[in-house]
Amino acid sequence: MKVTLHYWAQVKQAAGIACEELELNAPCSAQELVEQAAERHGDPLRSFLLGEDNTPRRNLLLIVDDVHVRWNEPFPLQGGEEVTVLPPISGGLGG
Amino acid sequence: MKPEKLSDAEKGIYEWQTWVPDFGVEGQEKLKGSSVLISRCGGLGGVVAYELAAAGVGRLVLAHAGNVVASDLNRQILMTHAGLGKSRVESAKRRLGELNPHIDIVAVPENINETNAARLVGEVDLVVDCAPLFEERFLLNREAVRQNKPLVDCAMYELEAQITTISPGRTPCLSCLYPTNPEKWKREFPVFGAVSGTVACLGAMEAIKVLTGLGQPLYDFLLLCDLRSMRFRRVRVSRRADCTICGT
Repeated sequence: MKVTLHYWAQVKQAAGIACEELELNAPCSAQELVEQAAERHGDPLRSFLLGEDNTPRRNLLLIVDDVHVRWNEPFPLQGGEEVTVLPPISGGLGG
Repeated sequence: MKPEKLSDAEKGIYEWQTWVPDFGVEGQEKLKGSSVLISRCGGLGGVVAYELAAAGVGRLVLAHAGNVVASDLNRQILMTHAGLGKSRVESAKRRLGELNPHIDIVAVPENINETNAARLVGEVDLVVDCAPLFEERFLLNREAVRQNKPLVDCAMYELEAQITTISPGRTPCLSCLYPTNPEKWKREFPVFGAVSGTVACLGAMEAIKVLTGLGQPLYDFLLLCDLRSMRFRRVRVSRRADCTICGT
Protein backbone atom coordinates (compact mmCIF):
# COMPACT_ATOMS: atom_id res chain seq x y z
CA MET A 1 0.00 0.00 0.00
CA LYS A 2 1.12 3.51 -0.74
CA VAL A 3 0.87 6.72 1.26
CA THR A 4 2.06 10.23 0.53
CA LEU A 5 4.11 12.16 3.07
CA HIS A 6 4.00 15.94 2.70
CA TYR A 7 6.46 18.33 4.30
CA TRP A 8 5.61 21.99 4.96
CA ALA A 9 7.55 25.18 5.52
CA GLN A 10 10.90 24.72 7.31
CA VAL A 11 10.41 20.95 7.44
CA LYS A 12 10.16 21.00 3.65
CA GLN A 13 13.32 23.04 3.46
CA ALA A 14 15.11 20.53 5.71
CA ALA A 15 13.82 17.58 3.70
CA GLY A 16 14.74 19.16 0.38
CA ILE A 17 11.46 17.89 -1.08
CA ALA A 18 7.81 18.86 -0.71
CA CYS A 19 6.46 15.32 -0.64
CA GLU A 20 7.27 11.69 -1.28
CA GLU A 21 5.21 8.63 -2.07
CA LEU A 22 6.07 5.70 0.15
CA GLU A 23 5.34 2.00 -0.20
CA LEU A 24 4.45 0.37 3.11
CA ASN A 25 5.31 -3.31 3.35
CA ALA A 26 4.13 -3.72 6.93
CA PRO A 27 1.44 -2.20 9.17
CA CYS A 28 2.49 1.29 10.09
CA SER A 29 1.05 4.22 11.97
CA ALA A 30 1.29 7.81 10.78
CA GLN A 31 3.59 8.50 13.72
CA GLU A 32 5.91 5.62 12.74
CA LEU A 33 5.91 6.83 9.15
CA VAL A 34 7.35 10.16 10.28
CA GLU A 35 9.95 8.51 12.52
CA GLN A 36 11.03 6.28 9.64
CA ALA A 37 11.32 9.30 7.34
CA ALA A 38 13.51 11.05 9.90
CA GLU A 39 15.88 8.08 10.10
CA ARG A 40 15.93 7.56 6.35
CA HIS A 41 16.72 11.18 5.52
CA GLY A 42 19.07 11.86 8.43
CA ASP A 43 20.00 15.43 9.28
CA PRO A 44 18.92 18.17 8.86
CA LEU A 45 15.42 16.67 8.56
CA ARG A 46 15.97 14.26 11.42
CA SER A 47 16.69 16.99 13.93
CA PHE A 48 13.65 18.93 12.75
CA LEU A 49 11.35 15.96 13.25
CA LEU A 50 12.81 14.27 16.31
CA GLY A 51 13.79 15.68 19.67
CA GLU A 52 16.72 14.64 21.82
CA ASP A 53 14.68 11.68 23.07
CA ASN A 54 14.34 10.44 19.46
CA THR A 55 10.58 10.90 19.47
CA PRO A 56 8.68 13.35 17.23
CA ARG A 57 8.69 16.93 18.45
CA ARG A 58 5.32 17.79 19.96
CA ASN A 59 5.38 21.19 18.32
CA LEU A 60 4.93 19.67 14.89
CA LEU A 61 1.41 19.22 13.64
CA LEU A 62 0.65 15.76 12.29
CA ILE A 63 -2.19 15.71 9.82
CA VAL A 64 -3.71 12.66 8.15
CA ASP A 65 -5.79 13.67 5.16
CA ASP A 66 -7.60 16.69 6.61
CA VAL A 67 -7.62 15.78 10.30
CA HIS A 68 -5.15 16.75 13.03
CA VAL A 69 -3.75 13.64 14.77
CA ARG A 70 -2.08 13.56 18.21
CA TRP A 71 1.46 12.25 18.43
CA ASN A 72 0.53 10.07 21.40
CA GLU A 73 -2.45 8.44 19.68
CA PRO A 74 -1.14 6.00 17.02
CA PHE A 75 -3.07 6.38 13.77
CA PRO A 76 -2.94 3.15 11.71
CA LEU A 77 -2.53 3.78 8.00
CA GLN A 78 -4.73 1.86 5.57
CA GLY A 79 -3.12 3.04 2.34
CA GLY A 80 -3.94 5.99 0.17
CA GLU A 81 -3.65 8.56 2.95
CA GLU A 82 -1.94 11.91 2.74
CA VAL A 83 0.18 12.47 5.83
CA THR A 84 1.42 16.02 6.44
CA VAL A 85 4.00 17.31 8.89
CA LEU A 86 3.63 20.99 9.61
CA PRO A 87 5.95 23.05 11.81
CA PRO A 88 4.71 26.13 13.66
CA ILE A 89 5.08 29.23 11.51
CA SER A 90 4.55 32.86 12.40
CA GLY A 91 4.46 36.38 11.02
CA GLY A 92 8.05 37.05 10.08
CA LEU A 93 10.48 39.59 11.42
CA GLY A 94 8.34 42.60 10.69
CA GLY A 95 5.06 40.89 11.59
CA MET B 1 -19.14 45.76 21.24
CA LYS B 2 -22.06 48.16 20.85
CA PRO B 3 -23.28 49.00 17.33
CA GLU B 4 -22.98 52.67 16.39
CA LYS B 5 -25.16 54.55 13.93
CA LEU B 6 -23.54 55.58 10.64
CA SER B 7 -23.25 59.16 9.46
CA ASP B 8 -24.45 59.98 5.94
CA ALA B 9 -20.82 60.16 4.80
CA GLU B 10 -20.15 56.69 6.21
CA LYS B 11 -23.25 55.27 4.56
CA GLY B 12 -21.81 56.43 1.26
CA ILE B 13 -18.32 55.06 1.90
CA TYR B 14 -19.48 51.58 2.89
CA GLU B 15 -22.43 51.34 0.53
CA TRP B 16 -21.08 48.47 -1.58
CA GLN B 17 -20.34 46.20 1.37
CA THR B 18 -23.69 46.90 2.98
CA TRP B 19 -25.17 45.20 -0.09
CA VAL B 20 -23.62 41.90 1.10
CA PRO B 21 -26.42 39.52 2.16
CA ASP B 22 -26.55 38.90 5.93
CA PHE B 23 -24.36 41.98 6.53
CA GLY B 24 -26.18 45.18 5.55
CA VAL B 25 -26.23 48.46 7.44
CA GLU B 26 -26.65 46.50 10.67
CA GLY B 27 -23.32 44.71 10.08
CA GLN B 28 -21.65 48.02 9.27
CA GLU B 29 -22.90 49.53 12.51
CA LYS B 30 -21.41 46.57 14.38
CA LEU B 31 -18.05 47.18 12.69
CA LYS B 32 -18.18 50.86 13.59
CA GLY B 33 -18.75 49.92 17.22
CA SER B 34 -15.93 47.36 17.23
CA SER B 35 -12.30 47.49 18.22
CA VAL B 36 -9.42 45.26 17.11
CA LEU B 37 -5.88 44.82 18.41
CA ILE B 38 -3.34 43.94 15.70
CA SER B 39 -0.06 42.62 17.00
CA ARG B 40 2.59 44.01 14.62
CA CYS B 41 1.71 45.93 11.48
CA GLY B 42 4.27 44.59 9.02
CA GLY B 43 3.71 42.26 6.07
CA LEU B 44 0.80 40.50 7.73
CA GLY B 45 -0.57 42.93 10.26
CA GLY B 46 -0.22 45.94 7.96
CA VAL B 47 -2.55 44.39 5.42
CA VAL B 48 -4.96 43.23 8.13
CA ALA B 49 -5.02 46.81 9.42
CA TYR B 50 -5.47 48.22 5.91
CA GLU B 51 -8.46 46.00 5.16
CA LEU B 52 -10.09 46.55 8.55
CA ALA B 53 -9.60 50.30 8.25
CA ALA B 54 -11.11 50.27 4.77
CA ALA B 55 -14.01 48.16 6.03
CA GLY B 56 -14.74 50.66 8.78
CA VAL B 57 -13.82 48.93 12.03
CA GLY B 58 -14.28 51.79 14.48
CA ARG B 59 -11.08 51.46 16.48
CA LEU B 60 -7.78 49.83 15.57
CA VAL B 61 -5.01 49.37 18.10
CA LEU B 62 -1.65 48.72 16.42
CA ALA B 63 1.21 47.38 18.53
CA HIS B 64 4.63 47.37 16.91
CA ALA B 65 8.03 48.58 18.08
CA GLY B 66 10.93 49.69 15.92
CA ASN B 67 11.66 51.71 12.81
CA VAL B 68 11.24 50.99 9.12
CA VAL B 69 14.19 49.25 7.43
CA ALA B 70 14.77 48.63 3.74
CA SER B 71 14.02 44.90 3.91
CA ASP B 72 10.49 45.69 5.20
CA LEU B 73 9.49 47.29 1.93
CA ASN B 74 8.86 44.15 -0.16
CA ARG B 75 5.74 43.34 1.90
CA GLN B 76 4.95 46.00 4.50
CA ILE B 77 2.63 48.12 2.44
CA LEU B 78 1.96 50.67 5.17
CA MET B 79 5.67 51.57 5.15
CA THR B 80 7.30 53.83 2.57
CA HIS B 81 10.81 54.69 1.37
CA ALA B 82 10.31 58.15 2.83
CA GLY B 83 9.66 56.51 6.18
CA LEU B 84 12.94 54.61 6.37
CA GLY B 85 14.44 55.00 9.83
CA LYS B 86 11.17 56.29 11.28
CA SER B 87 8.62 54.60 13.53
CA ARG B 88 6.75 51.74 11.87
CA VAL B 89 3.60 52.22 13.87
CA GLU B 90 3.47 55.98 13.24
CA SER B 91 3.90 55.35 9.52
CA ALA B 92 1.07 52.83 9.68
CA LYS B 93 -1.17 55.23 11.58
CA ARG B 94 -0.55 58.01 9.08
CA ARG B 95 -1.29 55.82 6.07
CA LEU B 96 -4.42 54.34 7.61
CA GLY B 97 -5.63 57.79 8.56
CA GLU B 98 -5.31 58.86 4.93
CA LEU B 99 -7.29 55.80 3.88
CA ASN B 100 -10.08 56.26 6.41
CA PRO B 101 -10.26 59.41 8.54
CA HIS B 102 -13.55 58.25 10.08
CA ILE B 103 -11.98 55.64 12.38
CA ASP B 104 -9.86 55.83 15.52
CA ILE B 105 -6.31 54.48 15.15
CA VAL B 106 -4.19 53.97 18.25
CA ALA B 107 -0.46 53.57 17.64
CA VAL B 108 1.39 51.68 20.37
CA PRO B 109 5.16 51.75 19.72
CA GLU B 110 5.70 48.51 21.63
CA ASN B 111 5.55 44.85 20.83
CA ILE B 112 3.28 42.67 22.93
CA ASN B 113 4.97 41.80 26.21
CA GLU B 114 4.15 40.71 29.74
CA THR B 115 3.68 44.32 30.81
CA ASN B 116 1.20 45.45 28.16
CA ALA B 117 -0.57 42.28 26.96
CA ALA B 118 -3.44 42.17 29.46
CA ARG B 119 -4.21 45.87 29.08
CA LEU B 120 -4.10 45.91 25.28
CA VAL B 121 -6.19 42.77 24.90
CA GLY B 122 -8.62 44.17 27.47
CA GLU B 123 -9.17 47.32 25.36
CA VAL B 124 -10.58 45.52 22.32
CA ASP B 125 -13.26 43.13 21.10
CA LEU B 126 -10.97 40.94 18.99
CA VAL B 127 -7.26 40.26 18.50
CA VAL B 128 -5.40 39.52 15.27
CA ASP B 129 -2.06 37.85 15.89
CA CYS B 130 0.58 38.61 13.25
CA ALA B 131 3.67 38.54 15.48
CA PRO B 132 6.97 36.97 14.44
CA LEU B 133 7.97 35.60 17.82
CA PHE B 134 6.20 32.73 19.48
CA GLU B 135 6.69 34.34 22.89
CA GLU B 136 4.40 37.13 21.70
CA ARG B 137 1.97 34.72 20.11
CA PHE B 138 1.64 32.59 23.21
CA LEU B 139 1.24 35.68 25.35
CA LEU B 140 -1.58 36.99 23.18
CA ASN B 141 -3.18 33.56 23.14
CA ARG B 142 -3.01 33.33 26.92
CA GLU B 143 -4.57 36.76 27.40
CA ALA B 144 -7.24 36.21 24.74
CA VAL B 145 -8.28 32.96 26.42
CA ARG B 146 -8.16 34.47 29.90
CA GLN B 147 -10.29 37.45 28.82
CA ASN B 148 -12.53 35.40 26.53
CA LYS B 149 -11.65 37.45 23.44
CA PRO B 150 -11.69 35.89 19.95
CA LEU B 151 -8.29 35.69 18.28
CA VAL B 152 -7.43 35.32 14.60
CA ASP B 153 -4.02 33.69 14.17
CA CYS B 154 -2.25 34.28 10.84
CA ALA B 155 1.15 32.97 9.72
CA MET B 156 3.19 32.42 6.57
CA TYR B 157 6.40 30.90 5.25
CA GLU B 158 7.73 31.12 1.70
CA LEU B 159 4.66 30.44 -0.48
CA GLU B 160 2.69 28.82 2.32
CA ALA B 161 0.31 30.31 4.83
CA GLN B 162 -2.01 29.18 7.58
CA ILE B 163 -4.83 30.72 9.56
CA THR B 164 -7.26 29.73 12.26
CA THR B 165 -9.78 31.56 14.41
CA ILE B 166 -9.86 30.89 18.12
CA SER B 167 -12.99 31.22 20.20
CA PRO B 168 -11.84 30.68 23.81
CA GLY B 169 -13.45 27.72 25.52
CA ARG B 170 -14.99 26.54 22.28
CA THR B 171 -12.16 25.92 19.83
CA PRO B 172 -8.54 24.82 20.21
CA CYS B 173 -6.25 27.64 21.27
CA LEU B 174 -2.73 28.20 19.97
CA SER B 175 -1.26 26.16 22.81
CA CYS B 176 -3.53 23.23 21.94
CA LEU B 177 -1.84 23.15 18.53
CA TYR B 178 1.70 23.96 19.70
CA PRO B 179 2.15 23.00 23.37
CA THR B 180 5.56 24.64 23.81
CA ASN B 181 7.73 27.29 22.24
CA PRO B 182 9.14 25.91 18.97
CA GLU B 183 12.89 25.38 19.23
CA LYS B 184 13.53 25.40 15.49
CA TRP B 185 11.71 28.52 14.33
CA LYS B 186 13.79 31.10 12.50
CA ARG B 187 12.30 34.57 12.55
CA GLU B 188 13.76 35.53 9.17
CA PHE B 189 12.61 33.46 6.23
CA PRO B 190 11.73 33.62 2.54
CA VAL B 191 8.42 35.27 1.74
CA PHE B 192 6.67 37.39 -0.86
CA GLY B 193 4.47 40.30 0.14
CA ALA B 194 1.68 38.71 -1.89
CA VAL B 195 1.80 35.67 0.41
CA SER B 196 1.62 37.67 3.64
CA GLY B 197 -1.01 39.84 1.98
CA THR B 198 -3.11 36.83 1.02
CA VAL B 199 -3.30 35.40 4.52
CA ALA B 200 -3.74 38.90 5.93
CA CYS B 201 -6.83 39.45 3.77
CA LEU B 202 -8.18 36.11 4.96
CA GLY B 203 -7.49 37.21 8.52
CA ALA B 204 -9.28 40.52 8.02
CA MET B 205 -12.27 38.68 6.61
CA GLU B 206 -12.29 36.37 9.61
CA ALA B 207 -12.26 39.38 11.93
CA ILE B 208 -15.18 40.98 10.07
CA LYS B 209 -17.13 37.71 10.25
CA VAL B 210 -16.56 37.22 13.97
CA LEU B 211 -17.39 40.84 14.81
CA THR B 212 -20.62 40.87 12.83
CA GLY B 213 -21.81 37.25 12.92
CA LEU B 214 -21.43 36.89 9.16
CA GLY B 215 -20.78 33.42 7.69
CA GLN B 216 -18.78 30.66 9.39
CA PRO B 217 -15.39 31.61 10.84
CA LEU B 218 -12.54 29.08 10.86
CA TYR B 219 -13.59 27.72 14.24
CA ASP B 220 -12.04 24.25 14.77
CA PHE B 221 -10.30 24.46 11.41
CA LEU B 222 -6.79 25.39 10.36
CA LEU B 223 -6.71 26.60 6.77
CA LEU B 224 -3.50 25.62 4.99
CA CYS B 225 -2.72 27.60 1.84
CA ASP B 226 -0.05 26.46 -0.61
CA LEU B 227 0.27 29.30 -3.08
CA ARG B 228 2.84 27.37 -5.13
CA SER B 229 0.19 24.82 -6.14
CA MET B 230 -2.84 26.95 -5.21
CA ARG B 231 -4.07 24.11 -3.05
CA PHE B 232 -6.09 25.21 -0.02
CA ARG B 233 -6.97 22.66 2.69
CA ARG B 234 -9.20 22.97 5.75
CA VAL B 235 -7.78 20.75 8.48
CA ARG B 236 -10.00 19.89 11.42
CA VAL B 237 -8.21 20.62 14.69
CA SER B 238 -9.31 19.79 18.21
CA ARG B 239 -8.76 20.96 21.78
CA ARG B 240 -6.31 19.24 24.11
CA ALA B 241 -7.83 18.36 27.44
CA ASP B 242 -4.42 18.84 29.05
CA CYS B 243 -3.75 22.23 27.43
CA THR B 244 -2.11 24.45 30.03
CA ILE B 245 -3.98 27.51 28.72
CA CYS B 246 -7.51 26.41 27.89
CA GLY B 247 -7.67 22.76 29.00
CA THR B 248 -10.34 21.54 31.34
